[in-house]
This record gives sequence, C-alpha cells and structure tokens, in this order.
Amino acid sequence: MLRDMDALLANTGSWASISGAAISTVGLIATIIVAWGARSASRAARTAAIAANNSIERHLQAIDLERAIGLIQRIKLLHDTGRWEAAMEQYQALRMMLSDIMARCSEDQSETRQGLATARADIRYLEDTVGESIGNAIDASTRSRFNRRLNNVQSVLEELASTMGFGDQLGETK
Amino acid sequence: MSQLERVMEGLHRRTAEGRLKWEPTVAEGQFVTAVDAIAVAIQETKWPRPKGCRLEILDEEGRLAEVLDHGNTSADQYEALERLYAEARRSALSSQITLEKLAKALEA
Repeated sequence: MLRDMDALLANTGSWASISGAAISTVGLIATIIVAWGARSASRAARTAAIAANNSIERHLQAIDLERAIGLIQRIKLLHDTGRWEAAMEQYQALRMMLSDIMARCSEDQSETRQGLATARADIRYLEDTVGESIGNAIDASTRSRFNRRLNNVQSVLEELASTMGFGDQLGETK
Repeated sequence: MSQLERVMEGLHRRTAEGRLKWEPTVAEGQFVTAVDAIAVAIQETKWPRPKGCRLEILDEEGRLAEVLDHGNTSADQYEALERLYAEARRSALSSQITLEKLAKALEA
C-alpha cells in the first residue's frame, strides 16, 4: 500500500513538474508575444512621431520657401527701380533664408539640399557681380540678365515647394 | 590618391555620367553645381594668360571653404581642373545649344 502510494506520489510529482514546465513555457511564450507587441507598438509610435515631425518640418520649409519666393519678387522690383544698395541687403537675407530651409531638410532630402545649395551659391555670385557693378551704370540688358538668374532661382524654389505638396499655394505668389 | 584628386575625379565622373548638372551663374564664364549641401563653382579667369580657371567650394553654410587655381595645384591637377571647366561648360550650355538648334531648325 505504502509502495503504491510512493509510486503514485512519484508519478504525481513528475506530472506536476511536466505541467509546471508546460505552464512556464506557455507563460514565457505569452510574455514574448506581449513584449513583441509592445515593441511593435513602440516602434509604430516612434515611426508615427518621426512622420509627424517630418510633415511639420516640410510644412515649415514650404512656408520658408514661400517667403523666399516673395523676397525674390521684391529684389526684382529693386533691380527694376535701380535700388542696388537695398538689393544688396536683400541678397544676404535671401541666402540666410535658404540656409534655414536647408537646415530643416531631413536625411532623405538630399536633392532638395542640392537645389538649395546651388540657388544659394547663385545668389552669392549675383551679390558679388552686383557689388562690383554698383559704381558703374547698370544698363537694361545687365539688369535683365540679373533678373533672369533670379527667375531661374525662383523656378528652382517653386519646383522644390511643389514637391512638398504646397505648390498650388506658392504658384499664386508668382 | 589625395583628397583633392578624389574630389576632382568624383566631379569629372558625375559630370560625365550626367549626374551633376552645372548651371551658368550671372557671372560671365562661371558655372555652379552642388553635391548635397556643398556647392562647387568653376569659372574662367584671365590668369594665367590667355585663360585660366578657378574652382571654388562653398561649405554647407555657404561659406568659401576652398579655392583651387593655377597657384595652388600641380600641373596634373590644373590640367584636370581645365578639363572639368570644359565639361561643366558643356553641361551648363547643353540646353542653350538645344534651344539654338531648335530656333535654327524653325527658321529653315
């Protein structure tokens, strides 16, 4: 009788161990699934936060681009009225504006940075050329050449703005 | 290969492949392009006679970071610079040439 009891207890112990191990395994799997889900949720939240941040940055870039295009319009007006000293001050403001837009560019906006860097260099050389010409009389053909370069920069900025989904609004500033 | 030679080789290669589009600036005989936020400008100069060329690199802030010309390059490097100027000019003026051809064709 006692031997039977011992055997029963021994078997019961084995079953308890097996079921205990099974429960632990199930628990572990459940924990892994929950942890994985939490990790995915955390990743999803982080991705959503990055996307929202990029969207805000692009919106701000589009606003800055709109301001830069407006400034180019003012500079062209200064050229047309021969106010070269005032134009010189605006070139610098425009270059700084372009630098600000570039600083807002995300890693994946390499082409945008490239377009802005070219435009900024273009303005720099326009500033140098106008600076050298100020002492002399600037004729209509030279003024027209300056404005053509500004038009070119403006087109680049408008194209960049349109890729950010604000092209229609910016088109009105032409 | 020095850093300068690597830069020159990269500019040559990308221009030849059409991956680098040069544009004329308002200054006569000057062309500009950019690689990411770094702008590169190349221009014809009157020195050394009869014609020379000069390359300017503007850093990410738009400041003049490097100037390469006859005075600070070896003979081979300067030759590469002159070749780059010719390629940049061709790249920048290609659309203008197309327009001229179109205008001539329309006149005929």
